[in-house]
Amino acid sequence: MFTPGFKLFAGLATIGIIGAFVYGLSSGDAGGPDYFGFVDRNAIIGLVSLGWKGNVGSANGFIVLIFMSISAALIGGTAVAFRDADVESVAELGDSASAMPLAQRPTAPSWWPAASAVGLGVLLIGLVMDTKAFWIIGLVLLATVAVEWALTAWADRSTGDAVTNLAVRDRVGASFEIPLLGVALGGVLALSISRMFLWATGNTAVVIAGVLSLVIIAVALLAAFRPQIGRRALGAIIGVVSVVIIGLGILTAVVEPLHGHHGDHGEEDGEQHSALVVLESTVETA
Amino acid sequence: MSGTTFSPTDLAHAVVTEAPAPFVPRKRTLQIGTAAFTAIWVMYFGGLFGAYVSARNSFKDLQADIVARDGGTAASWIPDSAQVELTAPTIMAWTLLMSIITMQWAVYSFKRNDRRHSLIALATQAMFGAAVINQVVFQWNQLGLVIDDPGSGATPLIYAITASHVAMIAVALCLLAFAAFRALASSNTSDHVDVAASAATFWYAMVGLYFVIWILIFITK
Repeated sequence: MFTPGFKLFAGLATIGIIGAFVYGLSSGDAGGPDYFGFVDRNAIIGLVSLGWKGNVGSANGFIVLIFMSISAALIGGTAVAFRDADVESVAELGDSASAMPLAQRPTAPSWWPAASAVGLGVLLIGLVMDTKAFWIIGLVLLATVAVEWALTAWADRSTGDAVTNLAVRDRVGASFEIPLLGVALGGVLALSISRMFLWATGNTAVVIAGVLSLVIIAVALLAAFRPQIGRRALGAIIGVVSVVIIGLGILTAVVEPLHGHHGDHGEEDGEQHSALVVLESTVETA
Repeated sequence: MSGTTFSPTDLAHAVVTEAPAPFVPRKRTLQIGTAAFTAIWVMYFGGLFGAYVSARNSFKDLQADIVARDGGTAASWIPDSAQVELTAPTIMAWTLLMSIITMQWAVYSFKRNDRRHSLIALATQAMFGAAVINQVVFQWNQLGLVIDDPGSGATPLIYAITASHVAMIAVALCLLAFAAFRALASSNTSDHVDVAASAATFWYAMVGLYFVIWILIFITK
């Protein structure tokens, strides 16, 4: 009748209630017994009304024990209502009560739990340090994890074949992942390049822009005229170029701008400064 | 899958039709897990409530001693500068009471395999949750308490409790979103009634905890 899970948690709930009353009586100072030499009316009223009227002694311990009892009662009640979710009880839900449901096969390792922990950490650090960028990144990360994890969990139940499930997951996921990742990568690259332009002086910025243009043209030509190099090799090349650009962008964002060293050197520097201002405004407009 | 046949030229479904049928997920384990997860939140709030009441009692005892010794008027637990009004908390209480009915409507719709009403009920539920968060933020502004005010022991505890409850609502909204995703992705919502019921368990606990907050902070002050 009563399941093992229920017995365990019902016992815990009972201990919590009894413990709360004993603790409330022993830690209180209600002014002495009223009946039979040991019953303190004020303390009893306080305990029965959970502190609404009267005294419950030390409130901290009393409330924690009461909530421990409530928590255990919640788990115990659920356990007995769902028969501890054991195999026999679950079999009763199926078409044939004697047929045990198959255990779900282990799914592939997932990064989403770890990613959600990172997102939560970044969010909390952002909130504590009042750094808007951090908590926005944390929120975006958590939202991404929520969508991706739900998608993976859904795909894992699509068929009995793990490879097919992965294909189903990719088919649905790729429809929005690739465009979003493309936009995000493009945005990060544009931001990185803008940091380089802001760091450099006029001529240096022109050189940087020229080198970047050459690199982009070279990769595009490679993709166009050497299709046999394969998708992975091309992906690796683009990946390396992207990492280098983003790395340089971060570096130039934290290093002191070049024009800071040339501030008072006459007309030539004045022209360079003007060129930089024009360049900055162009980048910002873009 | 569910007996549906697809055209051989339908490449979008070809790979799925050739795959073996999925394992039927075991029911009930989710409910037990959700009960344990909810119990964690209940215990967490129990600790917060205990700390709040304990600090409040200590403060009032101290004030009573000071008044008995020096005379005058005792300082209030919640600073006098704070504007503690019951309107917003009471509206939140009623909103959450109404949400109990819509939550059950969602579970009922899942059970009846009624996808449209399941989604409408979940959307209504999410609206109630968002409305409560909106009210809490309004109330924080109305209270005007400064969290690091050294003269008030009540302020950080009030923010800790109310912000924790907002976090709980946010988690409940995430559970609703998962249930809505299952309803959208599945051809048979009754297969996922355990998801909706689990979200409901968590939601009801959230509502119950709000009433404790309502009484503890705003009624008894």
